[in-house]
Amino acid sequence: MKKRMWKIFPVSKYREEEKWINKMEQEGWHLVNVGFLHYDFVRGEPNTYQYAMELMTGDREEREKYFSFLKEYGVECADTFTEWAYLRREKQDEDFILFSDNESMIQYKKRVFRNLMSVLLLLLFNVVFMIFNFIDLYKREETLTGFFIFRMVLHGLSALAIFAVAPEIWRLHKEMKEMKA
Amino acid sequence: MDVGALTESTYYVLLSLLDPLHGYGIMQKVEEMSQGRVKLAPGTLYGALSSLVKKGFILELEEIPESRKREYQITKKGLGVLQGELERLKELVRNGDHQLGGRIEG
Repeated sequence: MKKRMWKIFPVSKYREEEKWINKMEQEGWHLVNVGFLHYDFVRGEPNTYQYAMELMTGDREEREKYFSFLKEYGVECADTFTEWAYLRREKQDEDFILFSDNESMIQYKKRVFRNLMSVLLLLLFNVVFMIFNFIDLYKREETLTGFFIFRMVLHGLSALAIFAVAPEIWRLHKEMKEMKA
Repeated sequence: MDVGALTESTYYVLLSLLDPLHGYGIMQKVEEMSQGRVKLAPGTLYGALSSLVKKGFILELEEIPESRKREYQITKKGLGVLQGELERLKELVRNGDHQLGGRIEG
């Protein structure tokens, strides 16, 4: 039996996303496919797998190499979506962690930090773009058209994502600082 | 060659590659050497291997066709680094013993 669930996780909510996927697993739903705003599960024995998400680097070839390395550890890639890999292994008593020492954990957090920073920059650019649009409209003394309002609502909504991304960036920054201390 | 202190994981990875060994084998060997204390998680080990290959301390050998496992082995340069690190660690232990030796109760 298959089930598709629609769910929104902002890029910065990867920790919550991972928890939710593992909660689904506990209820007997194994994640097999991830797409835009949706997740596909198949029915099975609860607690068969443990899932972990990892932000990837490198090109396709390097990723394939990493995945074949992971196979030696009994870790397989359930699916990838954008830069994220949804990894799983058969359930063991120990937590499913990908990084076991401080140095590599800091490196990894840095990777996520940089990724979210570039998202934040795009979002800020979007706000600047919006402001210029309004200034332009004001200068030309045109009346508001429905299309303009529609566009600005879209920009405004995506600008809201700043409030999701910025706190996670701050959190990563604090965690890295603590780990380096 | 002075490369500064190696991390514990890096040191153990180098030490386990005196003979060719593949990823999971390295993890097992390190776990065995450290009596279960150091368990290298896959992302950590892969990162360490990539960075050691880049530095020329280890060599990536041809993939074994049947198992698709990839083996690694230490290079001459890596061996030199490992020996340098061993000397450094010996110094640490020597000084530790010397300074603390008389004060440890037991």
